[in-house]
Amino acid sequence: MRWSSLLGLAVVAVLIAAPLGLPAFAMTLLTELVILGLFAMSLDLMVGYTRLVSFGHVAAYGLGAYACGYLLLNTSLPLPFAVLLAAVMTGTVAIGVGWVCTLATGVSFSMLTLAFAQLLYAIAFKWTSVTGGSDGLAGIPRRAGPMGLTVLTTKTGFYYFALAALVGSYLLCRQLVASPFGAVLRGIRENETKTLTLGYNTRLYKIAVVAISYALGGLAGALYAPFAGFANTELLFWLLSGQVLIMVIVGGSGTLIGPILGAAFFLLLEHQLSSYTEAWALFFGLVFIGFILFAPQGIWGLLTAWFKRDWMRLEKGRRHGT
Amino acid sequence: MAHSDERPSSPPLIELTGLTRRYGALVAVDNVNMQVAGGETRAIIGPNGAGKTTLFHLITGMVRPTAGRVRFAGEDITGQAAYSICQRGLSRTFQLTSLFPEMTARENVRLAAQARNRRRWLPFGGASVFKEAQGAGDAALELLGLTAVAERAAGLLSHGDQRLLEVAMAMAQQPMVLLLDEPTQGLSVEETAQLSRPWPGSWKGRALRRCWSSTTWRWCSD
Repeated sequence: MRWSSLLGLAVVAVLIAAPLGLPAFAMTLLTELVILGLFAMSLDLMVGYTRLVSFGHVAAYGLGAYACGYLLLNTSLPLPFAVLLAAVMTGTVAIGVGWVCTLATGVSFSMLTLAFAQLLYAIAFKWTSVTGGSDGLAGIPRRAGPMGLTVLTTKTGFYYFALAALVGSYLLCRQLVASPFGAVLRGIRENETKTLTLGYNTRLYKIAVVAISYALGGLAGALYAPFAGFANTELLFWLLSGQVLIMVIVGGSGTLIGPILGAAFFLLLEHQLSSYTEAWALFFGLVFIGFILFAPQGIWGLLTAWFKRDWMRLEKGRRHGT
Repeated sequence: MAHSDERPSSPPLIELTGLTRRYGALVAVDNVNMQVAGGETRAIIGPNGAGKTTLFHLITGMVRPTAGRVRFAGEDITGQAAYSICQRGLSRTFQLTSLFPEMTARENVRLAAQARNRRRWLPFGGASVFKEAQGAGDAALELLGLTAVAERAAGLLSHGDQRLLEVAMAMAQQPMVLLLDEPTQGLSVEETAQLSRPWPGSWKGRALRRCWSSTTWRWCSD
């Protein structure tokens, strides 16, 4: 077994054991971390693997949150089904978003994704009968439904639900990027014209990856709504699009794991810094600049380089020993 | 460029009729009529700016013609998307080498050959797709003498090896027609000889039916 899979299993084991030893407020933070990690990882499919830089990924998050909130408030769907349905709805909408945005490339693509997010932001504000306007949707319940899923409504149960969504999505993404489809995405990332002239309908691949990425981002949003109990326009605000992009880059784009670490880093730093200073974003900005200049491969890039070196030393020692 | 050629021996694979491309007042390609049959090797020659590359772009769907038709294997492919023209069996290389620089040479040819697989889009698994594509890719690498550098990143190869790799990628697709745009450009006399050595003799026995080249073929005119 490779050292990275061992490390992954160890991390999952720690996360599973976490509720046993952590106080309640830390569990809230950890659940939010898992949800944000999923959100950042979904963006990595576009940014890291296809070089489709989205400035409007918040559209997926907000759409998922509002859809899930609406379903839980206005239908009798149990929690897991509402969450999954919201993710599927977000992915379906994203086919249209992808179709329009992939008419452009580069910065124009980024601007179009931003435009879509802003459009949704405006709709959330104005369509009061569905979205609650500036108040948003409040009092979103974690409904267990008739199938004895009451365990999901507890704090710990919901944490495990979110963790399962993250681990499941990670495994899904990992086999996606290793598949023939993933190889084509890599081709588009490195040289789109060449990929096109080799006989791949690159636009179709890009629309597909936008849909998958948005669906997973929508899943994260759909988990956030019942976690926080509300969905408001802040979940569609452009600032969050920038923040999630920073999480991907600081964590290490094109690695799937990295963005999850980036989200954790962002959340913990925000948590710690904001208790010392109002201007925590300023310091986080400095950290971001530092990463861009000195460690563009991100946290995961630094970690793997470090582990690889240690592992090789260990292997060498073992060989010398025998 | 005005060029006319009438040599209908066997039914033509490529047939250009009145192919024209204008950029404003500039006529890059002017009324080209041409037929190329299976098994033929042709060279398009002309000074810089003659329109050789534009002609290639017109045939492969990178640029839409202002007037005229392109026929491939009897079917009209004028104005079709570049990917669907390639899927018909028409592979090309670029005047400025176009590769996947961070992938190894093997991964480059594998991705090229994968395009020929019906399950090239498979979003999970795909071991058999990769294996098949790698087989075709490795054969193309060997044909062009690149096996020794196969595991190196394409962006780190020498200029000559990069040009050969792009030809190998086109070969890995086992096309019916191969369009090489200035394959010897920027190569030394030795590298030019290396590229022309397996050309076309050892390729003829393969699935490839015809090669076609747009180059000044310096060694030809000397």
